[in-house]
Amino acid sequence: MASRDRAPSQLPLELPSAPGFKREDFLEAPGNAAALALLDAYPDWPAPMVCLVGPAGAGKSHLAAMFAETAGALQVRAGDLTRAGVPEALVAGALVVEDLAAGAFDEAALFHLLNLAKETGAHVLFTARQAPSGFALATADLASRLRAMPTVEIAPADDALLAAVLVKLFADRQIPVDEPTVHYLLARMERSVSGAEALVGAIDRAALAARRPVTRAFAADVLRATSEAADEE
Amino acid sequence: MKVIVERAELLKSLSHVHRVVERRNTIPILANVLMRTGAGGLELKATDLDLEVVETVPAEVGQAGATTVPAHVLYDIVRKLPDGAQVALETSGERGTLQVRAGRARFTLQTLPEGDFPDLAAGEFSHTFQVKSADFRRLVDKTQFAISTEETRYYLNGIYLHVTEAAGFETPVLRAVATDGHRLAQAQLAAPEGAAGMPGVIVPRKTVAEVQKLLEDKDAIVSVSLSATKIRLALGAIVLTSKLIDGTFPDYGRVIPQGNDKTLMVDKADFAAAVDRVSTVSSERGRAVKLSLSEGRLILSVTNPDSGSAVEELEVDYAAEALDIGFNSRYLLDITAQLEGDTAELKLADPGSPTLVRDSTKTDALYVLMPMRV
Repeated sequence: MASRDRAPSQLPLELPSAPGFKREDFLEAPGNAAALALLDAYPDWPAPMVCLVGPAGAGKSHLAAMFAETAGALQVRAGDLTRAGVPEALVAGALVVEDLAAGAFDEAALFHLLNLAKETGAHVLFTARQAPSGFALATADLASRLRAMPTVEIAPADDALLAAVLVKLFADRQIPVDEPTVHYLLARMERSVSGAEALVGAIDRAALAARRPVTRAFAADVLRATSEAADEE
Repeated sequence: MKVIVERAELLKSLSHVHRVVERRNTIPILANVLMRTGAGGLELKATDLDLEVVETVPAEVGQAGATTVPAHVLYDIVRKLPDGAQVALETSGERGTLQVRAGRARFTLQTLPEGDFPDLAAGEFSHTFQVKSADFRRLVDKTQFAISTEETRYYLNGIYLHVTEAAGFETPVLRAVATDGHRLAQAQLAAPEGAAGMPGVIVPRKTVAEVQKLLEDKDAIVSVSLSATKIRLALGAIVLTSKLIDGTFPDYGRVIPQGNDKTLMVDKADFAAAVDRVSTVSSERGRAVKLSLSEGRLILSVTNPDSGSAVEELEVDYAAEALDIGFNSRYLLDITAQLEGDTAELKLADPGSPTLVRDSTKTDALYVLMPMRV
């Protein structure tokens, strides 16, 4: 919006928001019921190592943060995992490994992690956008281990969940919005949680820059500007 | 109730408490000041339900009691009484009035029952510390201008007061931060004894303004008490109690640039005067001024399609690569007004990233300013 405006425009400070990652902040829906049930059943899991699979914004990181809280688990990104760092990562007996994606991790490190976790009986919760059984890997043993790991899928959000997500995203940013604004956005925005995140972020920044409250009309302006910008690309 | 008070004493206290009272009130008793006799004299109290100020004035108590009368009216009456007058205040139980007498002047004011006067139940305070009035005032003065006035951003409508570790300080610091999303101001002092472990609190804008007015005596010691929901400042005969903003202040540390490597050193007064001059032609809405930096030189310019343009050149200390960056001239002036030394230090990165502004000599305050796209 601002970039095409001829008039000089104030840029806002990128003040970070604090997403609520507690159990009560988690929005339950039919699509994530299985994943939530798994978390609530801890440590009574089908296997000590489980992978949550779902699209961006499905709530994987939120669930992982909840698990880390209950189990006292450390959290590591799959890409940051090193062979030497494995024993230290497992020291708590429970671990979260986030963003497992084909080609984006050290195979030797992950293989070592799976072995050591099995040996020590540690619980490991993985998160991934694609099921790891489909990864093309150089280490055949690792591929078979990943195929054997139980996965719990999170389905893309439905409308009821998206509405609740919008409310939560605004609440995370401490922005009061009324119901008509939420419904207006819901009917017109990209139908995914990541789309909702991007939109709420854009509205927050635009409101901060313009020093305006978030009203339906203001949100509509931002929505129009962001979709126009997307069309131009 | 029957008391006699020295006019100057009464006026001084009323000038403190009456400011808390809003001019328009839907609840009638909030327009009133509560007067109650006590061991120390006459206690005056005003509140807007978020903020409460209590002050005790020396008084000759003839008959103990309490009542409430319209605060602004009483203040105006006392203000207009001659200096040195003795003011007699006397209630009449039957008629529900208060008589104010001084010399030959006599006023009768309608009262409301003191039992209806709301009390800002303070509860327990978890932390209390003493700090020199001037030091505390400095924290507030340096940051107050950056408080957001956009009401829906309630969590930015105040000064964030907290204790933290800071570079260059051996012990933790008591730090004040305010931001409106365009600029940010931070000031700090070595944390006083008793402040360690205090909750981070957001002090509302109106309370901040009152605190500034109450902390006139630089050498006085102010006692600050805190809980998670309230702050109390006690200074001599004055006690101010305020609710805090129920919100989470953003993790502001992430917007304070650490790696800005283009350093501009400029004479503060020359810079402010030049910004002020060129901004004369800027539009009311934009107020953008462009800074064009090259080695040893700063060109300030404003172009307004409606009214014209302005350019001014300054000799500066700048050795990094050339850079064009825009700022709101009002914000530049606000920040330079806070600097105490002669030289302003600006640490810049690029036209889309925050700029750090500091006093070249002082390290206890810093300012962050987001540019404008010009």
